[in-house]
Amino acid sequence: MKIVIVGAGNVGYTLASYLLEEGHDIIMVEADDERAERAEANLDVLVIRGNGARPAVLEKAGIKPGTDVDVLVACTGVDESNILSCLIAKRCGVRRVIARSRNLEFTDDSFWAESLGIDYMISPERSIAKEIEHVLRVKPSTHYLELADGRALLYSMKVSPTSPMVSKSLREVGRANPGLRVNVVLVEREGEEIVPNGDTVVQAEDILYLVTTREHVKRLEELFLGGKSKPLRRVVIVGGGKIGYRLAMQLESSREELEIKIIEKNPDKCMRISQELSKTMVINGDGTDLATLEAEEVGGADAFITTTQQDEVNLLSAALAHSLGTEKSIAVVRKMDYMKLVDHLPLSSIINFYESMVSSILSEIRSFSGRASRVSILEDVESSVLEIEAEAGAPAVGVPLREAKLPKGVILACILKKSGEIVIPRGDDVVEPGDRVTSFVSDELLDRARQLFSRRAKAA
Amino acid sequence: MRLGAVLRVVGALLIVVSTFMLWPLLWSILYRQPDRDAFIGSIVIGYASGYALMLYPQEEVELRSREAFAVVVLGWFFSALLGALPFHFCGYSLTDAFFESMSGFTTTGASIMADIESNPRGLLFWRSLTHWLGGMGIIVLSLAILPFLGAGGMELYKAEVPGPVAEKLTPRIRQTAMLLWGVYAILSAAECLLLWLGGMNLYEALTHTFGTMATGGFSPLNKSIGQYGSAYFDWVITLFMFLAGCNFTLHYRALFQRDFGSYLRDHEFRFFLGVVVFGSLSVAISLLVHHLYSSPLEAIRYSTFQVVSILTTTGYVTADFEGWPDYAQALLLLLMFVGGCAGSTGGGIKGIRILLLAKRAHLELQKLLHPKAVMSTRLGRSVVEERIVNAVMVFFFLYLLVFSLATLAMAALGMDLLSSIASVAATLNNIGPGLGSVGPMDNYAHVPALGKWILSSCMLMGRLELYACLVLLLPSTWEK
Repeated sequence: MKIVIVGAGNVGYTLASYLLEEGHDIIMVEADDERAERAEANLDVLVIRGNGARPAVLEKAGIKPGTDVDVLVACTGVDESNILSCLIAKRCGVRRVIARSRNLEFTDDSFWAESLGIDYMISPERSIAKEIEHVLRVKPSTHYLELADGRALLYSMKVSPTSPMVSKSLREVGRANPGLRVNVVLVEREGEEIVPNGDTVVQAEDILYLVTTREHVKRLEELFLGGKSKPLRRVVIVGGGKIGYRLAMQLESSREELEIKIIEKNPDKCMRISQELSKTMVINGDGTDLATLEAEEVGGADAFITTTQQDEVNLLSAALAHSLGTEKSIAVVRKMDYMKLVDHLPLSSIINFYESMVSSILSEIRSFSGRASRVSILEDVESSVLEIEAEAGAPAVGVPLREAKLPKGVILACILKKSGEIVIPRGDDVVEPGDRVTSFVSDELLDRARQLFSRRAKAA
Repeated sequence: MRLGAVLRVVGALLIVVSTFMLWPLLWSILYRQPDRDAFIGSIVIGYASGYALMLYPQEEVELRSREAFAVVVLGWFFSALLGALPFHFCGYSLTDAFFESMSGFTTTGASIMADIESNPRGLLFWRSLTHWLGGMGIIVLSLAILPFLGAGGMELYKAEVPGPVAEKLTPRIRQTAMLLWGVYAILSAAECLLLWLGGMNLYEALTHTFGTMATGGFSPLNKSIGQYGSAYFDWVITLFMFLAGCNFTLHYRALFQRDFGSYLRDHEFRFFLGVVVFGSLSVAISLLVHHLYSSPLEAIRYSTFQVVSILTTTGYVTADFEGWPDYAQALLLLLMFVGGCAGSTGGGIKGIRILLLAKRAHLELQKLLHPKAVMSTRLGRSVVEERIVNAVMVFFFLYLLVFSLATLAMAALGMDLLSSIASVAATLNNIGPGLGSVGPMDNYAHVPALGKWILSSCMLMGRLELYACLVLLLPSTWEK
């Protein structure tokens, strides 16, 4: 398909690099020279320089009446400009238009998207606040991603030394917990990635990537921690911007009584959010300042999340809180490169600001193009989540999985049946034509994995 | 620098070049020529070394810009070396063979052959075919046919395509490369057909097409196009030399998008056309004033041919311009440096750079008058980024520097002043024939061996427009 991406910032750039791999032709529109050059030099895309909310500029990217462009994604940092790009594109006959919106009011429900004639509007602040909340609530987890339209969940969880799983093989763990439907898709040990099988022995401090459904999460938590988990009580958020504010609001509306604090440097912002948030204590201070953190008893907090605009501040502040004794410290970063630091900094997890939004947009484009594709990448591992519709006649379809002989490196995570039922598969389950199969695949096996479930995968 | 990644692509290029050697082999077998074994040997060596380089163990990686420079320069060097093998196997010394092959690939057209027609047909076909491959570029050709080059291909493309900014026509680099080669092939087919209809046999029509469309200048005939003495051939070749000197993006717009207006909207094209018209008319007048031709039509025919040939850096000749008035000779020498348009198959400094330099000079003068004025360099209505203008100015300086040093070296080797200047100008600008002892009716056989290597490197530097070659001279390029 021909896809125009307006805005070559972090979102646009990442989006383009994944869409390219899926074989789409990408044209980017960017006014800033530095960003335009970065995209031009590193990606096989055509870059048009200029303001993507101007018809004359969009025309250069091929968006004019009777256009052959299939999808437009407007993901600059300015809502007005994104909405305008989408309106112009829709008028010119682009079939699917997607807008990023910073202002959360536009994405509270689908009203605005529908009345503006935009097919899909998405706010990264909203998706990341959701991700953070899940990671907070499930104590051992460091990452969270929704699969199969949110019916299956992908977590990465850290094995505590007190866990009963330690020094047992995955097969033994499975036998000891009958009825627990979970698939371990990847094991990370001291920075190395291991493709697991039944004989893989779990060690303390391993990070297990697993796919499960909502009802099993509680039991998993206990299994990883080895004992009952304390409920979440005290949460400290650094940064009162959109993410921090949104997260606090979400936590406020939950059933349990939580003690929430926001530390924000800017006094005006403090005033504003303290008026909006009724149950949250707003503190005017610097999140990298030890005295402030000590004064607020950060060491005793259950969770500490840094959400300022500056990646470096977030990383340092989270590391500082960890050294003070916070049980779980999470840093939000915008720059993809910083994801690699998670093994080197003393903090629980680093969450990328754009990742969940990029996966949602990719998934949206994928379901529109009907093409088998790579859905998402977990930034710090070299495997991808592949979502694909099973076709009759493909080698792994219609036979029990045990006999399908999936190559090592391809692990079936979940199957979304046509009936809407979600299955976390075992060896005797069968993939039927029309099922949506989600699998976890090493990057070099992506094409082979596609061919297992789809006959025309080669053409894609 | 990850040498493995570089060598792998170079290996792929060698395989592409070896495959094209099958074509002259076919002529050689067809005409029962003695050079058959030379080609079979070269092809075997080419395939073997190409595959050996590709076996070099390494992961698939995207090329970074320093590696892209190395791929382009080493790729061209080894292609020329491989292309020299048939000449060497036919009895030429390695120096002469390399000079001839480099002259072919870089579309220079400077030859060390004294009696061209005494050479076997296969070899002469190969000589012209190297022009055609090098004209649109072996890298661009490989981008079009080797899918694995897609990643990081933009860097390769930028390093090979002439001009200050390499333009992409489509989202994917591979598509752009295919379209450019498509346009090139269509124009070539058209010229070949016109020459064939005019009475050339297929062999000569093809070789002359290669020489024209690549702005090369090799001919399988001793007296080049002049041997025919035909006005029809002169005009057909003049037309296609002119087309080859234009930016191929414009041809693409005209052929594929039916946008013929884009020619006249393009500032560089207008400049190029202006130079052609001015050059042809003024030379024709000077020829008439000196009574070298009796009819104005003849004077125009010869002056246009020579002017277009030199300006587009082709180097075909129909008249010995060393016998022309000094004004004509001086103008031709200057035109050598102007060259064709960016994105053409021609060499030289390129029209767009000259235009930008002139605009920049005008701006600088204006600033003297209005010290506080805020102005930018413009081409028509669009502003040219300062970064690009700076790159053009530095390019100009480096061009003159390389030109002066090489001229000095040639003079030190014992050549006379005019020949030193002209030989460097003719090779650095990828033209071929110069003035003095390397004039249109002479050849380069008498140049000392070291001089041939210097001129060969001038050709490569001229074709790749200096930057890629000079960057490799910096030690930090080679850091691990």
